[in-house]
Amino acid sequence: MGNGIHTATNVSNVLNCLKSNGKTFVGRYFAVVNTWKALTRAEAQNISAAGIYIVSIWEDRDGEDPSYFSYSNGKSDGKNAFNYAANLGQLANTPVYFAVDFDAKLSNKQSILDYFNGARDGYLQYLHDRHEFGLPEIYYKISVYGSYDVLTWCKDQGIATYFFQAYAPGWSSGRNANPWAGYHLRQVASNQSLCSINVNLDVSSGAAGGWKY
Amino acid sequence: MKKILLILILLLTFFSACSKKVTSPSELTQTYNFDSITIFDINNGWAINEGEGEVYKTQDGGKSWVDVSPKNKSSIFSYSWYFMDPYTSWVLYSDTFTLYSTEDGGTHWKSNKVPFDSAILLFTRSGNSFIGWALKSYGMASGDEPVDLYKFENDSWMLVSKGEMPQENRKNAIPWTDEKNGFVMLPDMLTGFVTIEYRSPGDYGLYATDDGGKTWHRERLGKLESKKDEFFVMYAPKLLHYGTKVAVILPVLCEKISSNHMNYSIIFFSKDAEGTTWHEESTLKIKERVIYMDIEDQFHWWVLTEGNLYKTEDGRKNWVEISSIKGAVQIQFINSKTGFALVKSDNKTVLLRSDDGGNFWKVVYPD
Repeated sequence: MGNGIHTATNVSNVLNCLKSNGKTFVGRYFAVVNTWKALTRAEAQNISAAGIYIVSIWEDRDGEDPSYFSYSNGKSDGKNAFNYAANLGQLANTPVYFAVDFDAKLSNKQSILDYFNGARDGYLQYLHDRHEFGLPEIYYKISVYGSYDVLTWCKDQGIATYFFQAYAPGWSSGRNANPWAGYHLRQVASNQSLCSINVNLDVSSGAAGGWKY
Repeated sequence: MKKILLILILLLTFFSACSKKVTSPSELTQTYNFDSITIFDINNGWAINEGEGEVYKTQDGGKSWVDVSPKNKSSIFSYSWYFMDPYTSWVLYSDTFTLYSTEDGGTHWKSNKVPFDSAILLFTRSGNSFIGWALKSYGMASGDEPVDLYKFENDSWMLVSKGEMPQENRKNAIPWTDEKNGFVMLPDMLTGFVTIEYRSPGDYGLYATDDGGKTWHRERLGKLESKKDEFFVMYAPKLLHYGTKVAVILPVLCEKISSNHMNYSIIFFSKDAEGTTWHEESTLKIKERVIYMDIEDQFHWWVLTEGNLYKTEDGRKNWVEISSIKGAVQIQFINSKTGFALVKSDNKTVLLRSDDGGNFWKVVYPD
């Protein structure tokens, strides 16, 4: 069981502090529109040099908005997310976690699954485009960050490989207070202050798809 | 020769008839999929499909809808639209940072580039023009959401206050952490509130301004201070007009997790425009998740849960369970008796109407 964080803040200046607090991985965001929270190559190099693993999270636009989840937005996000990973030099066969950042209800299930079908097609588009441009096809894993119910739906659908359970105990009618069987990462607290930055605390169940240079 | 030609024509006619697609009545009926409805009176209302970027209008109480979307549409984010009356509305298209507005019910739209792609929008009429507000969102990061406040006046958008960003310690600003899920400005254009949902137990965010959004301070809700082990969902504040006075109603859902089940209670706080403290107006205790709330006037309030519809009509003292609407995602009453419910299943939309305050519902759309 490893301990880590995910955060919207650049961690380059606090890596020693994170290490001394026993953190072995840092979740950081990929984004092409709302880049205020986005991981850069320089930061990824700093994190790697500190011996800390990076966990890649895609949450660019309105991940808390149920109506955002559609096939077309999934396809666009899938293509952008894996291009971002490849451009950054993310290790092959590691995951990008797509965030479903709200308390999804049964009425949202189909559009969320449509979104992940779109993400898969966006991923295939990314591979196709790299092939067309003569670039090596770097394979990645579509993965999901979300509530207990969202992880269950995505597992049943069979598209997601890695599962990251969000923290909000009241979500999924209280089921989210319990660990989701089979999680790779589980958020255990939100908005904590650590090393003078705002972080979310996470635990991993083992191999959770972290990567470093 | 003529005989052969006649046989050929007959054969062609026969095969053409066989291959012709028979259109069923259901295929002839155009049905739309709505994410939200805004009904103004017994006849007129708007509906929106955010994912498809489509705007619809009804003039016959929801029985039929017309697609009046602006051209070159793309997707719309939640609350990035505002329907003021049956003729006047604004819709923000996210991919192009374009705000469309109409004053003739969607026949003609004006487009303007704006400095935001996602925002909670509010507008009010001021003489022959409009004043608008936009709480711009920078998008989410696991529950955190920086925002800025813009104001529309004299035909242009101006930045009123910059919200806090990570690693900043900006005084009197709206914090970047946690989700902003409600925003309202009072008619005085000076007083406003932003509600913030925290995911940690015992914490909540309510920020207020009294200088037109330039500076913000945190306000406290006394009743919540002792509930350290509960989680709070902050809803958008609602303005309630009592004659010439305006009150703000703030619904807060309190979630308590027991070993096997959830206990929910909704506390409605209120504050009048001149008031300094929030008081508890009413509390409803339930066992199911809350889907939607509708506050029609001083007396008639409804709460839609995953399974039931609750109502009070005596000034919030007594709540009664009145009906169940399976799959409902929104309710909206236009008076104490007539209301509409938007029901969704498998991405299909059904619109129901009640004329007895929510006890009995009948389908109005699709016909």
